[in-house]
Amino acid sequence: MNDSAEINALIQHFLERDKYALARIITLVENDPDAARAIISRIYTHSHKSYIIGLTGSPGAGKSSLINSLTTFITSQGYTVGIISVDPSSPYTGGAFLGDRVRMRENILNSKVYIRSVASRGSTGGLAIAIYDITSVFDAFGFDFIIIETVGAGQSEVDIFQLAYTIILVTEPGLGDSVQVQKAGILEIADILVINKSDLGGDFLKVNLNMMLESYKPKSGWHPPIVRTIATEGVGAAELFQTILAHKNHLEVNGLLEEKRRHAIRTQVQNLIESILLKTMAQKFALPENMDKIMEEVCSGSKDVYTAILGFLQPILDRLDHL
Amino acid sequence: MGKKIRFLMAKPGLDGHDRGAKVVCMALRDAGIEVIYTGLHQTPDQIVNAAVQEDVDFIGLSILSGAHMTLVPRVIQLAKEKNIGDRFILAGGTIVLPEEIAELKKLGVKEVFGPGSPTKKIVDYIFSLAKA
Repeated sequence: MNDSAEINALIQHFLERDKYALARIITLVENDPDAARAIISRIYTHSHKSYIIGLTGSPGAGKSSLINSLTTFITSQGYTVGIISVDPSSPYTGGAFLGDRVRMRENILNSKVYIRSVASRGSTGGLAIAIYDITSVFDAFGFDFIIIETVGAGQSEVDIFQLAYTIILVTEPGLGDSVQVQKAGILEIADILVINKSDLGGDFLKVNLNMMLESYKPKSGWHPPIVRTIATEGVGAAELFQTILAHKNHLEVNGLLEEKRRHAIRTQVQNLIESILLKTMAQKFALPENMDKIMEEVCSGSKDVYTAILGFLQPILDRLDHL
Repeated sequence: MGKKIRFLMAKPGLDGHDRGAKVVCMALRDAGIEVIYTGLHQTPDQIVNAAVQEDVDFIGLSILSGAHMTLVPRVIQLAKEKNIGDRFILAGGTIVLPEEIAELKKLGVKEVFGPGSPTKKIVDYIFSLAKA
């Protein structure tokens, strides 16, 4: 749907806080770069400075359930929440099973809540660029809080946390040992640690986490607290929200919130420029057509991969020198 | 890159049998479709709300409880009220009586896939609708 009259009508309804329009606009920015450009340029002045929370952790730790119980509490305090739930796309088929909503049933009909399931769509090592746009759209719509939930604890998820202001890492008792959490490499970027399923234990895990946290330099005076929750029962939701607000306050008071916003924008700008350049250049220099030749040289063993690539690239690099 | 098909798989009502629905979900995922599964015991309200927010192209209603002649029309009605009456609605489960199938199709269900439907048939049908 590229009809600009239709897009204009949608934007109109969107600015009137119509959720149907919000849904349609998200689809457009997710799938159509031209529409994304048109829409973002029209709505960006409507930013409400939504507060962005990022949530990650191992599959099964209870992220979605926690978001559900946290959202229930946040909305009970009068705020609105927009949730972006990211699940992985199949690297083979490109399809995805997006099942996070199953844990959020209490909030499906909550008028203060909007939930959107998003497939990662094969973003290699970086946030799907679309998620920046979706977050901007949520912000323009006016949610007080935006919660972005991401898949497990892989290194590629680190990029997602260049976007959020408060990062919550969700763990559960009995996941093996402290090494598991440590390997994640994510521990040091977490602002708040949650031990969910606290009805099953967690004292030992808490001790371990505290020990590990002590070995990290505190980020600008903030010592990541550990919050115990039982997400399915709403236990700990209030405490978690208070902790988030405390972190938000810490960022604001120390001028760090603005810094984070700039960082998020910088990451998006960098990603976008590189992505557009890459696509344009690959096309302009006929990479697809040359791919077979390069493949043949490497697979047959007549050239090593670097020599083969440079055979194609060097003339281009030389031309760039003369730009 | 073409637009991905988004499919909402819903289980309305008290029916607790979701194995079939999950099998279909996986088949759709394997065919490159983004499937949003909303879990058991959904009300028509919840289903339509989710469909609006997720901006899906298809709503799949899986019902094995026999309550389909009550639940499906309610979903269709609500979908129209919420402006998504143009999305494709498919039904499955144990809806087998020809007269009921005919009635559902008259109300707006595009196709009914009863027990034994090959998942490939479902996938092909979805793509044929999406391309049109």
